Amino acid sequence: MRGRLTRRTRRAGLNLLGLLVALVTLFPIFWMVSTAFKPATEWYTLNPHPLPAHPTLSNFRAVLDGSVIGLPYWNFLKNSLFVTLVSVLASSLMALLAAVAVARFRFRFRTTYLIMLLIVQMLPMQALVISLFIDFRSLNLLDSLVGLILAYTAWALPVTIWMLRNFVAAVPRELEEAAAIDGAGPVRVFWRILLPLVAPGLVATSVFAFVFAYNEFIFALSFLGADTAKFTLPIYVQYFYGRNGADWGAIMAASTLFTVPVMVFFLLVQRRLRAGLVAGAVKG
Amino acid sequence: MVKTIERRPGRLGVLAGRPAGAGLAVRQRTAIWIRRRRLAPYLLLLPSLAVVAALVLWPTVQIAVFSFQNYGLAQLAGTAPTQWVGLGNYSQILHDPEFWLSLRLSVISAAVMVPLTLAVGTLVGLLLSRLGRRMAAFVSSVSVLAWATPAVSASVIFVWLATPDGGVVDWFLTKLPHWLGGGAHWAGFSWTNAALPAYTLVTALVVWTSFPFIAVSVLAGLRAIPPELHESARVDGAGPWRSFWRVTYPLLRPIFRVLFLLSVIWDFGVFTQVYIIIGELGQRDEYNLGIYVYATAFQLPPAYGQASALAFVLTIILLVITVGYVRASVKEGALQ
Amino acid sequence: MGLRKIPAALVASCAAAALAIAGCSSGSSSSSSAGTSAAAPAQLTVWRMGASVPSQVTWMNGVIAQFHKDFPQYAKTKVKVVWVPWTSNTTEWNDALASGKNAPDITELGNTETPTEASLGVLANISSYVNSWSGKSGIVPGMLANDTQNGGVYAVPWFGGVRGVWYRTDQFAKAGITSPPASWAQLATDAQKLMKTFPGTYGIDAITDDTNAFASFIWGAGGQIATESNGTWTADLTSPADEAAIKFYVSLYRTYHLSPAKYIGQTELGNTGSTSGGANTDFGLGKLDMYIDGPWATATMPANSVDKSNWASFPIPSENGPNPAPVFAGGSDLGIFKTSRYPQADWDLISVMDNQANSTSFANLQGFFPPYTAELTGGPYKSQKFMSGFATAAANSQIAPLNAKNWSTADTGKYFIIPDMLKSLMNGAPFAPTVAAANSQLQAVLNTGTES
Repeated sequence: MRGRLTRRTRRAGLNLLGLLVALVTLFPIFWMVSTAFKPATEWYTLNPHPLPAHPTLSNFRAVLDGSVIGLPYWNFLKNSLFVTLVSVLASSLMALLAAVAVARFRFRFRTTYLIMLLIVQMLPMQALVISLFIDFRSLNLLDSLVGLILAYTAWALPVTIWMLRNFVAAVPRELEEAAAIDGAGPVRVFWRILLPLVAPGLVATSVFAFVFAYNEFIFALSFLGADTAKFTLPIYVQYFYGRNGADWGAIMAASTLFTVPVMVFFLLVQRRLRAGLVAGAVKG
Repeated sequence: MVKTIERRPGRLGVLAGRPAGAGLAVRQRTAIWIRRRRLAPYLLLLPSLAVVAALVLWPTVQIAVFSFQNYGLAQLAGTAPTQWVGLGNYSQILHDPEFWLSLRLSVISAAVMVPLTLAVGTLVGLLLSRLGRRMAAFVSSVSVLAWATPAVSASVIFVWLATPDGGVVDWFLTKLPHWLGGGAHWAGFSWTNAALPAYTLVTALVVWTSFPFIAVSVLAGLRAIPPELHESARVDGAGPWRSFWRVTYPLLRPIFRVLFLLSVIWDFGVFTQVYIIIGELGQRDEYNLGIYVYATAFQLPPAYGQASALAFVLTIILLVITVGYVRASVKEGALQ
Repeated sequence: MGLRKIPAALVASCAAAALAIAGCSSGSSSSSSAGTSAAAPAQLTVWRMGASVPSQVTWMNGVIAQFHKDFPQYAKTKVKVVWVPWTSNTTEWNDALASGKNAPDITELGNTETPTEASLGVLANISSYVNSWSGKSGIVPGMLANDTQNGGVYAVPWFGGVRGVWYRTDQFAKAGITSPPASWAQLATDAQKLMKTFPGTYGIDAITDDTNAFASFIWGAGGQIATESNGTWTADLTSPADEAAIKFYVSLYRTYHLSPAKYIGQTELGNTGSTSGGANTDFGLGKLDMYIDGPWATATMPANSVDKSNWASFPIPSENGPNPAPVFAGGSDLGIFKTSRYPQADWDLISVMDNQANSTSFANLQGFFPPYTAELTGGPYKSQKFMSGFATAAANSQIAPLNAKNWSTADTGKYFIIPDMLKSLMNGAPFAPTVAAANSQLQAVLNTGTES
């Protein structure tokens, strides 16, 4: 009797703890969204309330139609999506090829290449932004989204190759050999055997590259200069906050619009993402 | 799922029976040539290697080179040549009080952030392993939301939470009873105008966004531990604390090593959050090393040479730390 | 082992596809030639400092219409106005000059920034245009001298302004203050009275990042920030007069608690780079009783400001009175950016923006003073409740060392010497060593541009 009670209380206690953790973790996000719907009289108050008493869409409207910064939100979303999607595509493609090379072949500089990949992941972006800035300047790539795409692709590659090679290595060679014996050429083996099995890994690495490029700040800050029309979303949100220090409703609305897509994305792929990232990162 | 492949004489069959080079199309000849020279892997690597070499490796070399030069606006515009100053930039750094201040801030903040993140993440991971399926899914989904929050958003949210006018944190602290440290003196407290409160805010922010990754990794590692080990520990009379340190931790050590090193790398190099929380570049006494590098390079008058020297120091520090990671990875057989 | 046969074609096509996708859209990469052009430009970009204000936009549109009428060859030239915050203007000039992209054709500059920017090569030498300009003779000579370096003129003064202390007449009346304070002691006492009469408000804003205003305290004690002789600067922060000023200003926060902690590290407009959310917003909303800034700050006041009809000003008091403290003669100049390809068109636009009529109407819009002697001595300002305090202060103005070549590096570009010193002192750092350190740093930077 006593044992069961203790177990139930323990279970209840753990659930309570879990709930507490969830609430504390959720609070900042909740507060962001709640503030975004509050009119100025409610967030500039001495006694904050969790929910808006008179929810309003005016903050979102101000952000979307650009009355605060002069350009509508869609402009920056367009820039961000363009940069992100192209760099994800480019880096996934190149990373897959490299992962195949590293996982399936033995060649002379293989270990050197792998060590290089490891070390390159440790190089701090805020250090290399200096020489990249000077290089891009002479290549006329400043104030240009193309420059950002190149930088993001290059920076996403080492991690995505590293993660992908585990997935490629996990595909049993016997499957490929069997297919080859059956008469399939290398392209066919790639398409029909390898690609479907590596797909979860590709999803994981694409998500990583997407999130990296979508959220990236230092390079965008340094390479885009003062041309607000070319800003990506992170720079837009920061610029917005920096210029309008007190308009918290609008700042939170901008932040919500920026953040919600990523969150939804993460929630949708979280199971696969967790498996992929854990497999890739934890295995070393 | 393996898809069946239809039986069909493929290229292999075509090539198998013919003498080399006899009547083959260019494509097939190239394929043989690649196979003979074992060029396939190099060709596959070429695109990624070229991109990384051009945009990561070469700029690293440039940083090293610039650090020995005098490189300012005139040199950038091409109106004056760069001058070799040898170790001049480096000796200037050693005598620069702002360098030591920013270095100290970087080191101390990383020294606090990393253990805190690991501890919180591990505790949440342990909690998740004990919760029922639905509760665990709920908690981990919420944690994923925190993990998914971009650095920029998280930073403006935390600044808003901690703002003196209308921020929740100050309001909450004024309501806390005295014996918990609360009270009216917290009203209007500014968290961003001195290094200690600002970095406390940054630490809270980084822990909030980073603990889910730790928790998920720890959870995965915990799930891999056979339950018999915990059972036998319990039978032997070990409580949860002992059970953790004697059974769980040793098995999770490789995971912890990776997580520790990754955390150190990320937390030492934290930039975006600090940039936003200290209000761009106006508070020199709150710079960490990364911000100081950026300020030296991009505030007028720009000093790219000196900034490169600072950047090189930052890079070396990070590389020294990560040598440990590389060596551990090699030992764990990650390069197989 | 089947995958070893992946042909080169696949690799090549993948790479080509990736590069093609990357390169196929997004324009830019227009050539940036450094040559100038005499043809009518398609567009001229004007950088204005601060935040966009509707009345200024209207004024500018009127000027552009005039420009198109007076100079028919530019009838098709569009004029684009870009707003740049004051605290990041040095960075953005740097970016534009360094990257060669998105550089303006004409830029507004703070008059103290003109000497530095000219020496950095940001501004074009416009001596020939200015010397043949009809407006030149009417400009206040001292203002034009500020824009001259080594015999060359690099900008023209556009408007000027001085700082004072904003207050509300009804608040003073209710607190029993019969006349504005004329000494530091009275300033502190009056602030205390206001805080007692209006609980929950701050008495005065002792912000740390507005040296242009803080200078009046140093000068009001009879001291100097730094003095120059034969091209060498000597910093004076450790002199008794300077230290008295620093002590008093810090005491507004630490001893008298007239200013809240959140203003430490802020400019008068809020965080660095911000144009709202700081002391200005607090004054507008009635949370701050006295606010140190120029009349131009009306543009940054929140839309829902309270009690606007009772706004008035008095000059920043000197240490012991009765005369007000000398005040920094701030203002803006107009210059042509070095890389602009259309200097003639730029100058033509400037000559319209800065003629006597336009600069006066612009100045009146914003609470500034035009740079024409006739307007200043004519005296329409003395009779206005809001402007009279500033006009009184403007009679006793000073500019050095804030126009020194390396001043902006020392104050807002890289080092923030005096703001950081005030910030440390307000946060409790020991007085003498902090001031001494700032003093030697200031001297080094003023003379060499770097700390050592």
